[in-house]
Amino acid sequence: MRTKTRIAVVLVAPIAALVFHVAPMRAQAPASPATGDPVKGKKVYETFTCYGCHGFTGETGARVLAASRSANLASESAFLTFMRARANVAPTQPSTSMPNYSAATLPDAQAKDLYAYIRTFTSHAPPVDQIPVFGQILGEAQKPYKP
Amino acid sequence: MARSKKTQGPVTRRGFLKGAATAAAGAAALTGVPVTDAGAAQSTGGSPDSAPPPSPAQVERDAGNVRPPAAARPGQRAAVRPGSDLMVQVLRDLGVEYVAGNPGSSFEGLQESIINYGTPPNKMPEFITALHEESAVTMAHGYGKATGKPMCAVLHGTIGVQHAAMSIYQAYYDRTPALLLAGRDLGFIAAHSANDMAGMVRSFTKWDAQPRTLADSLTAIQRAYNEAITPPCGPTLVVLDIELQKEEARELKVPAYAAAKVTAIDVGQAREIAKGLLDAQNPRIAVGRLRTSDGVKAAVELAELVGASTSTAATQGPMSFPQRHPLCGPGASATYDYVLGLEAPAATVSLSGPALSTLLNRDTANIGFGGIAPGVSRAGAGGGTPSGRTIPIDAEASLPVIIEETRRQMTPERQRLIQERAGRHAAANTQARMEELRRALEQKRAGWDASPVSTARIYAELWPLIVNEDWILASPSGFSGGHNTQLWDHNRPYSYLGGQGAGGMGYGAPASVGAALAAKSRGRIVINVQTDGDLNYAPGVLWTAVHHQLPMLTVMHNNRAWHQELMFVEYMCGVRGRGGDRGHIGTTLREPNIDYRAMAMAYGMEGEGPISDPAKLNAALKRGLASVKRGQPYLIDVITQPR
Repeated sequence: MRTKTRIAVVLVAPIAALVFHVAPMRAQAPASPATGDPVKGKKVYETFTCYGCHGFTGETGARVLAASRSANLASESAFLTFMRARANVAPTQPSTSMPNYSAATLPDAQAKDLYAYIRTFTSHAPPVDQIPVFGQILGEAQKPYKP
Repeated sequence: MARSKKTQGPVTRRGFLKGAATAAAGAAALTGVPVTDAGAAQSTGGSPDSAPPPSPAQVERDAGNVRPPAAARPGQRAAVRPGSDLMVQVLRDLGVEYVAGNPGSSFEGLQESIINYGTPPNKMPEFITALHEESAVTMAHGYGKATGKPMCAVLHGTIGVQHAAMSIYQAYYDRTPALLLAGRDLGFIAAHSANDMAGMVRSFTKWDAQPRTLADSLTAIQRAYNEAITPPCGPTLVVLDIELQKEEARELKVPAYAAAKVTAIDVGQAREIAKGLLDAQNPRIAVGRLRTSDGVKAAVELAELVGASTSTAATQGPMSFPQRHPLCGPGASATYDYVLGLEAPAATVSLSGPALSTLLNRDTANIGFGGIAPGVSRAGAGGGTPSGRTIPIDAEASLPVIIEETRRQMTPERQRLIQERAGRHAAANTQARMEELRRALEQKRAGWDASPVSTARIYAELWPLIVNEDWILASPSGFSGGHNTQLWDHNRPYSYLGGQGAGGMGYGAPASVGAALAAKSRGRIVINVQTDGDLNYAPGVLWTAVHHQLPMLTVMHNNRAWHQELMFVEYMCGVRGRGGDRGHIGTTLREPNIDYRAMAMAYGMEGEGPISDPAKLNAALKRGLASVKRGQPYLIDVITQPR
């Protein structure tokens, strides 16, 4: 029987640390053009299981891509640099950190397609105050504590 | 003695074959004594190591064509007062509600007594039909966490014990009481018996016994119960020979039960701790996992008595401080000058910094076993490096002594200051809670309308539907985003039962069934947010939930993968610079997709799905909860985002 004690929660901090290590967050919104093919990029996104950490629509998971202002997504070249810079940045024990994608694994053309696809992601999430269930949750939280 | 399947002949695990030939060979295998019955030896027709094939008479009995041996005289039972009746009486006296098991010949005497002995029969304990010993023990694990009391699981011989081993390991690691009984039949199938049955699981069983007499069996069960509930709690195992189960008890009486005595800290220690709490300007109580709801009640009493802010482990597991109690939170100031840990992970029992500790000459004390890891595998310090004093004595038993000493040292002036401080803490904690919740909602809205459904939406939609119910979240939520920890209020000792114990898979559904057994007799409902990979280890437990009409709502977190492993493999591909497009191999559950509604239906459970449109989720949850409140378990297959 296998055991799996490596809970992802423990690994959230390393993810954040690694991303910060490569480039500061909260840079400008992407402005440079994407030269790849987003249709082909969608296939890459699925094949390389990017959805595992970023959700099937880029809106969920450990790191949301939709409407992201990450410097790593600011330009195609920044994205490629980021994808190639992951090798040996972390020990080889199991990790949910962003993997490295070498050019041998993911050629530049495919990486550019992927970037083009990621750039199509948009957040469809309504604001908090327009989600009725959230209103109910806030309402419940404001009630006095009952033992 | 190891035997290949080929040499065992058609004797099956659940076989009903029983005769002189197999008995002789079995005994020989166990004792190393050569078979002396020439007829039996010759009848094997094989090597001396091979088990004899069944006789024609045995085959007839196996086929159901022969009635069991008749009573001594017509109309008279073989045993008027079988030993297993007394074993069941012991369980009844101990308040054991359920015995879960997968039938096996080595405990058929005990099983017969459970279902037929007493008035009414099959109540306290009731036999719960499990489809796998791993499920049976995990049911006991879930029940134990929900109640703080042991549930019983019966295991069939060597094979049942081995099937159960991983679950026993998890319960041990999780410090959860469970009472395990293993049948042993030396005279039947050799491969199903062993001289030392408990040896296979001894390193992760708290206590075991293999009594030789019926009288010893009864006291062994009582002691096993006491050992299980005595901190640090854990599973215990009693091996019961079939002959003792079937033995005529005659005038033997059930021994008087002496309740377990749990040691508390001495009065001197309690006096010192009470003084520390009362002298401090800003005391803190870090509450880990206590044993029972009585311990939780006492922890609340102490915190209110001294006006201390508290931390809780209620979002990690059961039996901790109510999450939304006004004193639970960082409090008005996070600089603490005295910290008392109650079964707390060592890392939570610290002042705000070592410098402050030195300057103020203050102390921390952690009572209990929360900072001490169980002694198997490579486990480390169990939650961080201990700081201050660790007092390895049960916190729950110690709380009444501390409370008494605190009351003794209380003065009106202290009481006034404490009330003022408690008021400040309450206001600060309420504000902190609302700020935390708003931040959480801002995060949880991501992907709200996405298809497949976000895991946050599952938990968010569930909460308003159950907030006014008496609920238990029995499944671990770590693999599903842990959204309950931010969105839900874990205010009861059993609100959230936490993780698997040792991270072993195949836990969620059987633990939920165990919790649902506890819930059924207490008017509660159980929520099981079930990861798909986990369910596939032993899904037959769904049938158990239906068969016993358990109030359990299962909501599938169906991401069609062992998702964490997918990420691990993908990461490893990246480290090695190859095959990033092949990480799905061996980590996904696709081609074909598994139809969990159909799976549930196959086991007789009502259900619906797959649901990938989030707009359809709320109505499905309402239907599911309505079914559960009627006592019918329900499964909703939700296709989800990975995490």
